[in-house]
Amino acid sequence: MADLYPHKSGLGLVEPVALINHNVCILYGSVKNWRKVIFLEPIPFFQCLNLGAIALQTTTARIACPNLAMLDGEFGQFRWFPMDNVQIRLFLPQTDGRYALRNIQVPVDETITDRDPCLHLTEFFVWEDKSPAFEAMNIMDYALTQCRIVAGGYRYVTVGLDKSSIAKIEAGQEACTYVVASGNAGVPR
Amino acid sequence: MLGVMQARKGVRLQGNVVVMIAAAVANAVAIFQLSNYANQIGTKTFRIKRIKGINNAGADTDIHIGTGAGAGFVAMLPPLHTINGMNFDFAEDDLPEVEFAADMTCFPDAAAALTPVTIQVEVEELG
Repeated sequence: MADLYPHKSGLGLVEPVALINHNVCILYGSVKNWRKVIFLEPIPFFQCLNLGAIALQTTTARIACPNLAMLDGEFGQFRWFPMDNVQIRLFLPQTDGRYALRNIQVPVDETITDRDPCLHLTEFFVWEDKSPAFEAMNIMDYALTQCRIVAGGYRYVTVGLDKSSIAKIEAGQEACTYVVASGNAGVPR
Repeated sequence: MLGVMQARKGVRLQGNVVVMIAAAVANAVAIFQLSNYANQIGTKTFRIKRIKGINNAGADTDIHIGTGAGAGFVAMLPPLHTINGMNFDFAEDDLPEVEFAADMTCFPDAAAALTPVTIQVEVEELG
């Protein structure tokens, strides 16, 4: 499992974060979902959302992307980029901003395909139907007629782990990949 | 990755088709407007990559490209000579890598309402 871990950097296109029979722990908020992967398949890059026309120098409402929702017991691994000249913020779920720094939430724009051609740093995970939401800024002095987002990655079907397996993982006796599927506002001080 | 990529590569954009119906620097009009939304992250600049247009001024004329208008006009390129009744097309290899940090403006030395110079630019916006 050494080669498989979230947000892997370096050359190469998207790789699965876990394989069949691998243990995963999907962190959704403060909930740990201990699972074992029983099936995975690739999701080719596709246009998952079109936020539509955006007037010049305007920010859209936060719009959910149900096309990236998964079935019960499944999680998705996605990388993405915008096709149009906007700055887009990702929320996962709808209230938790991703790519958060102390003072700003970092947006993704069209330059990501040059700066990070394999889109490693855009990677996020979706647990079941907790689908992401996107908010787009048309930064231009020109109106946009479309605001399209393209995403692709992997779909994982999982089953729950029994308590003995979880105990072994927590004791460090069995391997597990931890997958973050929501934002985090930080630890209160 | 930046070491092997063109780190300053930007996004290709184009201005509107602008019909210039008046000559002289006082009538310089915007032909590409810089992205400067108050909420955007980062500062944008742009480089001009292509200039396409047609001179219907009734005479050969120079067009002047820069920023601002009137006394505030600052030339960013040498004047470009255009021929009456002809299209003009200056592509990337013809143009210096001048970087704009403000809206790009243009005016011709000759033009009027019924004899305009029409222009459109393509730029690469960075940032």
